[in-house]
Amino acid sequence: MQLLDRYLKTVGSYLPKSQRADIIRELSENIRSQMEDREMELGRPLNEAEQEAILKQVGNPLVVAGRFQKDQRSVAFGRQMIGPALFPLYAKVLSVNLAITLVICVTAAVVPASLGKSLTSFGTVPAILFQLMLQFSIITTIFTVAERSLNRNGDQWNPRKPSAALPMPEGTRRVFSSIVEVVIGLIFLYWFISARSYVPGILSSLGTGLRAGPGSYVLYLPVLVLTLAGTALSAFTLFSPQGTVLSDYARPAINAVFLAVVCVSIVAGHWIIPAEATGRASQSTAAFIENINQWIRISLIVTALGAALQLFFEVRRIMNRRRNSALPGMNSLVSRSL
Amino acid sequence: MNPDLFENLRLELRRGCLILAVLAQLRNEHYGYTLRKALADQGMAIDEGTLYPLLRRLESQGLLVSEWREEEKRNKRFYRLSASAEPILRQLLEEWQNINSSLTHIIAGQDATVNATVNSTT
Repeated sequence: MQLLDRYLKTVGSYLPKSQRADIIRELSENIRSQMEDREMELGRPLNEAEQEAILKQVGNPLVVAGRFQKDQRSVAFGRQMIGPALFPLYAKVLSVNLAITLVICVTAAVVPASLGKSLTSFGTVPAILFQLMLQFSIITTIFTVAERSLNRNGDQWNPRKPSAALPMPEGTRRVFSSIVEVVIGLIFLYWFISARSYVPGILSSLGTGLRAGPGSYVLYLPVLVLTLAGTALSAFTLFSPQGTVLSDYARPAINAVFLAVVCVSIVAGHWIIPAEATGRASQSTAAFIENINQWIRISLIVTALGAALQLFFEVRRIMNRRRNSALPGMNSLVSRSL
Repeated sequence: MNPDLFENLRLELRRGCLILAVLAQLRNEHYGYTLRKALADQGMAIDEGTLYPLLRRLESQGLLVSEWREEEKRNKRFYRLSASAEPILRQLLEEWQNINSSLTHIIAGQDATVNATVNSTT
C-alpha cells in the first residue's frame, strides 16, 4: 500500500493542519474499503497498476484536497482565475510575499533617512506601492497559469508521483519557469544595483566606520554580469521554449563561472574591513568585523555547495541526453551491420 | 454543439439532485464507500472526490450526523440523516416532485404542439 500512503500524504500536505488527520483517516478507510472490495472480486491482492487505477479514480490530490477545504473562496476577474483548490496556497504565498516586500521596502526607505538623507512621502510611498503591486501581479499571474494547467491537465497526474499533482506539459513548464526566472532576475538586479548606493551608508552608520573589503569587490561585478546573462538567457528561452544548444550549454557555463567567482571570493575573504587605513580598530570592533565576515564566509560556502550541486545535475542531464541521442544511431548501425 | 457546454449544464443539473439523493439514501446509515456503492447501484454514480467532501459539508450544515465505529475490525465513519434534517428532506422531496411534474407538463405540452404542427403540414 505504498502508493496509497504516498497519495494520502500528498493530499494531507494540501490540507489545513486542523482538519488534516481526520480527513486523511476517513479518506484512507474509504479507499482501503474500495481496494479490499476489488480484491474480493478478483480473489487476489491488487497489483500496482490496479491500485493506480483506483487512485486515479479518486482524483488529483490537489483537487481532492481543494474540495475538502472549508475555504471555498476564489479569485475571479470576469471569469474564475484561481479556483478553490489553489486559493489557500495562493493566499498564503501572497501574504508572506507582501509582508516580506513591505519589510524590505520600509527598511530600504527608513535606513537612508536614519543616515540623514531626507525622506519624502512623494517618492517613497509610490515606490512601495509599486513594489507591492508588482509582487501581487507576479504571484497572481503565476497562480492563474497554474490554475489553467490544473484545469487542462489535472487528470494527467501520475499516482506514482502524486507530489507532482500540478501536471504541466514540458513546453509550458519551460515557459513558466523562464517567466519566473526573468522576473526574479530583474527584481534581484534592481535590488543589487540600488544596494550599492545605500550599503556603504549602512556600514558607516554602524558607528565605528566599516567599508566593503576585497572579498566584496571580487563578487560585485561578476555577480552583476552573470545575473544579467542569466536573465537574458531566460528571456531568450521564453521565445524558444523547445530549448536550443545555446540555452542547454550556457546555463551550466554561467553556473560554473558563478561557482568559480564565489570560490575566489571565499579565498580572498575580508568582505568587511575597517574604514580607517591604519587598520587600528578597537578590540570590540575587530571582533564585530570578524563575526560578520564569519557569517558571510559560511553563507558563501553554502552558496558554493548549492551551485556545485546544481552544476553537477546540469552536467549529468546533458550527458544523459547526449547518451540517449547517440543510442538510436548506434542501434541503427548495429541493425544495418547485421 | 460544444461538449464542454453540455457537460457544464449536466453537472449543474446533477448538483442539486445529488444532495437530495445523498440525504435520502442516508435515512439508512452508511459509511462513505458503501454509500457511494448504494447510490451507484441505483443509477446515481458519484465520484469519490465529490462525495466525501460533500458528506462533510452536509454534516457541518447539521443535515447529517456521523460517528466513528468499528466494523470488520476497522474503524469507519458512519453517516446518517440528522433528526432535524428529516423535515427539510421531506420539503425538498416535495419541491423536487413539483419541479418534476412541471417539467413533465412543459415537455408534454411542447410534444403535443410539435405533433399538431407535423399533422397539419402532412
